[in-house]
Amino acid sequence: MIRDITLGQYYKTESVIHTLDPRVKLMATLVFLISLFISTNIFAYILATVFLLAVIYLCNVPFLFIIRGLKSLLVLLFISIIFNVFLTPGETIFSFGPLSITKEGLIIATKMAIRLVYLVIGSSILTLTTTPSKLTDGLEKGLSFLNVFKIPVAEIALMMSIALRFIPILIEEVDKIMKAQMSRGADFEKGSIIEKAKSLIPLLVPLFVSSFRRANDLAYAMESRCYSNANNRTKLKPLKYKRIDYITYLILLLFIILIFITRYIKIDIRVF
Amino acid sequence: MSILEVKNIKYKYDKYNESSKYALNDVSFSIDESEFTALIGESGSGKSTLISHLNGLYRADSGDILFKGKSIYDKDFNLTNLRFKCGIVFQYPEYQLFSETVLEDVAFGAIKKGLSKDEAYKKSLEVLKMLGIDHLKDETPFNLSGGEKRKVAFAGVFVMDPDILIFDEPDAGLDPVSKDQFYKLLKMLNQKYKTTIIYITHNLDDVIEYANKVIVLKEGTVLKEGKPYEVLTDKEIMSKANLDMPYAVEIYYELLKLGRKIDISKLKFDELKETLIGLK
Ligand SMILES: Nc1ncnc2c1ncn2[C@@H]1O[C@H](COP(=O)(O)OP(=O)(O)O)[C@@H](O)[C@H]1O
Ligand SMILES: [Mg+2]
Repeated sequence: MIRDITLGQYYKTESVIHTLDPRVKLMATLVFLISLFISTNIFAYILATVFLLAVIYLCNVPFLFIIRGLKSLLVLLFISIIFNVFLTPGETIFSFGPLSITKEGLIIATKMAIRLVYLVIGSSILTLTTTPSKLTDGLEKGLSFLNVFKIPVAEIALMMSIALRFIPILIEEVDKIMKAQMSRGADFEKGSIIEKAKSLIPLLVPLFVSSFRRANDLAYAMESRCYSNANNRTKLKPLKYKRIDYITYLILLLFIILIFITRYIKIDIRVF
Repeated sequence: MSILEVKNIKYKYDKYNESSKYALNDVSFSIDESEFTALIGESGSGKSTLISHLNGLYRADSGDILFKGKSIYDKDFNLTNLRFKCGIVFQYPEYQLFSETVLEDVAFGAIKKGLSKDEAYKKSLEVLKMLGIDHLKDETPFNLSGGEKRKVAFAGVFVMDPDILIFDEPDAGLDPVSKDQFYKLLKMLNQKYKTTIIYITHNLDDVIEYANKVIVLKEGTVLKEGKPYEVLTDKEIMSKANLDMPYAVEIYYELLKLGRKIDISKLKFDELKETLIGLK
């Protein structure tokens, strides 16, 4: 159930994608997300799909494991599809009663669904193939130019990495708490909405208590190891680009250029 | 008659990965009514995973579990009911305490079971008295000491009147005196109310003292089950399972080396003391 959330989880295995520099992967994710939102026609989507499939193939994480994260997205997906299909004005192709499905609605709904699904898969792959510490290193180094504007990049990166690291821990805790409460007859699924909300109390209270305790412990542990001023810290394993990283940057450049080119391909696809 | 029968269950956490290992690999055993069973094995051997199957929290990938002769995986088997009859007290009490007062928290399970509020509170108070912590009933559970929290968590399960009580490492982090008190209480419940008890522990000296059956787990399989003196004196099994022998067993073997053979089934503290005093 709750374990199906893959966002923020790391999947340990060996692959090209795993060995890439985190900065490259961050950039790739950013490029991919941007490409999703500037895609206007079918060619761009095909291109994005090929790109995504290639990465999925290369990253050596079981496909089912990657798309497992989508399960928790289904409700959101469903709602957005319904709204788009029925509420977009345009050329009616089917109607019953006051509701009518429009051609524009269908197209927008499909685009929305693809974007949402690709977005989640794309960002899941980033965290699935990058350890939290590498991810922070990548962020810190990649954003270090912001130091010029007196933005505490290192601190922000640290905060992000702690937050990321906490996600799997929290999920595990939710799982344990649910087990303990279900053993006492708690039921998190039955009942009306109000009853369901009420039944969450035995879950949320222990979760908050233990999160605060954890945060407190972590703060003390950092204090007692004299943590201060992240900017002056040196790294045990400084990030360094390898050949494969430069090649990947080139591929990314090619990808985004191709996406831009698709914008100028004018074809008239008749959907119906 | 066996109250619980586990038949060839297999379970793996990472179902998406063909090559991942099974946390439980073909586990079978049965528990008789009013038995006092210790589940032992090194960390990661699958003990906690196993007990989570016993009240249907996890569903085995294959195999079957029978509670009083009925498969808990049958469509018309009432799992909620099983959870009341098969009470599990997990390792960390923090994961189950959530109410404003101890009494309220303990009553949660009883109310879920269908008791009226008054009945549930009355019953909870009785349980707290039995555990000797009724003076804490109006405290908030979050400010209690570790041992007290454990007792409250235990009360919260015991209040449901389970036929089987299952504990995950109940003695971890208890001081020696509370630990002895706790085991004596279990012994009393076991003898007086015929409650079946299954508990996970790393403390093998106490297993000899209190349990009348031991199951040894290693990498998700049962290495051996039997009476404590049969299992814990089996050198081969113990080293396979990476477990140290309890003191009593070491004494037994030391004496054997000296040519003194004592009754192997009498290794409890008092029995051993008698025997040793009797020796010249
Ligand atoms: N929530 C979980 N997700 C994935 N693997 C787990 C989980 N819990 C336990 N495991 C794995 O299952 C095996 C058995 O664990 P567990 O039942 O906790 O052992 P024990 O209680 O004997 O220490 C271990 O290899 C452990 O790593
Ligand atoms: Mg355990």
